Amino acid sequence: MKALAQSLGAILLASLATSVVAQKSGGTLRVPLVTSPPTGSLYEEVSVFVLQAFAPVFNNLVVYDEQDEIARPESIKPDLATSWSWSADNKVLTMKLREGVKWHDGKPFTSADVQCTWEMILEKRSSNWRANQYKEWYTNLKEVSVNGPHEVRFMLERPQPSFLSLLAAGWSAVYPCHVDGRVMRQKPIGTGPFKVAEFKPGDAVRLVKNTEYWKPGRPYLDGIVYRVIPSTATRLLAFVSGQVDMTNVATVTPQTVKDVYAQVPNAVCSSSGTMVSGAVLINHSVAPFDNPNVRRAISLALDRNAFVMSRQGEGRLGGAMMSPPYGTWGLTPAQLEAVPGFGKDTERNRTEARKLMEEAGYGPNKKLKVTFLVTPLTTFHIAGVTLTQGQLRQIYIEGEIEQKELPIFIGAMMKGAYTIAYGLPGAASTIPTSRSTTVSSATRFAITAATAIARSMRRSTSSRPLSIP
Amino acid sequence: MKRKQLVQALDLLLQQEAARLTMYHSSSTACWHSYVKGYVRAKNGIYTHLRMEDVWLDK
Repeated sequence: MKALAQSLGAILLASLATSVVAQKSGGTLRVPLVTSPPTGSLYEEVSVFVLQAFAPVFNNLVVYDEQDEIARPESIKPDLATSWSWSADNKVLTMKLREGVKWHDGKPFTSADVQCTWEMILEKRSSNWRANQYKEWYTNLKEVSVNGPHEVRFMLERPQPSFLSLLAAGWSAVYPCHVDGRVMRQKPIGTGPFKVAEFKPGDAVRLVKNTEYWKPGRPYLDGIVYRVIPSTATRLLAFVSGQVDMTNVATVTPQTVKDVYAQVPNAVCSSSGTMVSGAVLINHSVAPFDNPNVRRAISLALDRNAFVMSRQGEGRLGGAMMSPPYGTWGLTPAQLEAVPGFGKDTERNRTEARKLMEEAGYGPNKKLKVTFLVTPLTTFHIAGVTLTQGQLRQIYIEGEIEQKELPIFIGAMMKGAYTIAYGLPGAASTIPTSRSTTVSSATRFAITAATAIARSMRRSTSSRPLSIP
Repeated sequence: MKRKQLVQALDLLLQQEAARLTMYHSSSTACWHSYVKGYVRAKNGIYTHLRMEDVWLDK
């Protein structure tokens, strides 16, 4: 027993010694980006690569604990808000704010900045933003008021258990009230651990340590360089040759990870759910896609299993919400089995699809001409749109693939200036409310339906946090 | 549980109406060198855990 206690004591000491091995300060982290951020203004952008490069510049009011590998309501912790409480009717969220925090330009952070940020999102105040990408998240937010320089109140139309989770999401930075939108696009100012030293679109984003960061001892790094490396092969080579410290998404696959381990035996590799789905986006506000039978025919013709295969081990069947095992809200493959296009009998599905198209007036001698819009960010975008084009040809739908840069692609989505598009839209949080963002839904019907999801969620009077294991 | 049922019912409706055709959900593998410490990659999304304030280099 004594020996066991001694052994345990030794293990504990060794463990303490390991944890006492102090974190080292200094050095520059080198991270590749798949594509260039168009701007540095989070609220105007939707690309994850914008968030990767500029999230370190900002703080939220609250944030998911970044040492917990699951972003879940239970792990939400203070950031610029030090504490918060809900009113008895669950419609008013009061937050106490951190004092003594400075923006990167030396101005003090106050409640006015918080009020200003969400009033710009609600479009109650001029922002000089070119786009307002996260307005849909806050349709239940009625007003933001201040009570002195260090307290804010968010007043909701109805109780919304997920509201705090939205504030903890990556896209929920607090913006400085005194800085113009143009500056936020070119060299954003935040309160975060890193300041923007240089942003050269198409080349790199260089961040340097904020030596006046409010959190003691942080950050450890002197800086971070995010370099744009569009080629997958070049990104992989840069990692194995030690020119960058990390890979990024769309670089390593379950197949190529073996090669990574062979060349970098000590590499640490991890697989995660992305909340990004491959999606065929139909503009159903234009004929003939306003005809539910045409949409049903398209759905029947698309063989989901072929698309899953194209992801080389990184795809799984799912609906709108993040599917298991990474998400808890999503439909399982078994639940989807009966939905048109999800079953395995592809030939039977396509026979039915052709019949529906013929009823709509199309056939071998009268093809439906479309354009397949895509932004060629990764090989998965190209594989997806090529599969879509090939599979829809079998039900009399034909057209060319049109490749557009990301900002133009997103602009076409927002304006409804497309017929069929292929994209990899993502959601910024696993909670259903976040699915109402325009880019993750991409069609007006989907926005309506996703908003219905959000409203259903908000109707709950429970203030119990949602469980997202 | 009631909320999950509501969400799933609406999700099923979205799929049946073929409004936004989900082909798959993706996962993603990423690697980093072992000297990169303090970095935790989120298991349920790529839009959080990006601040890097806890990251340090053991070089």
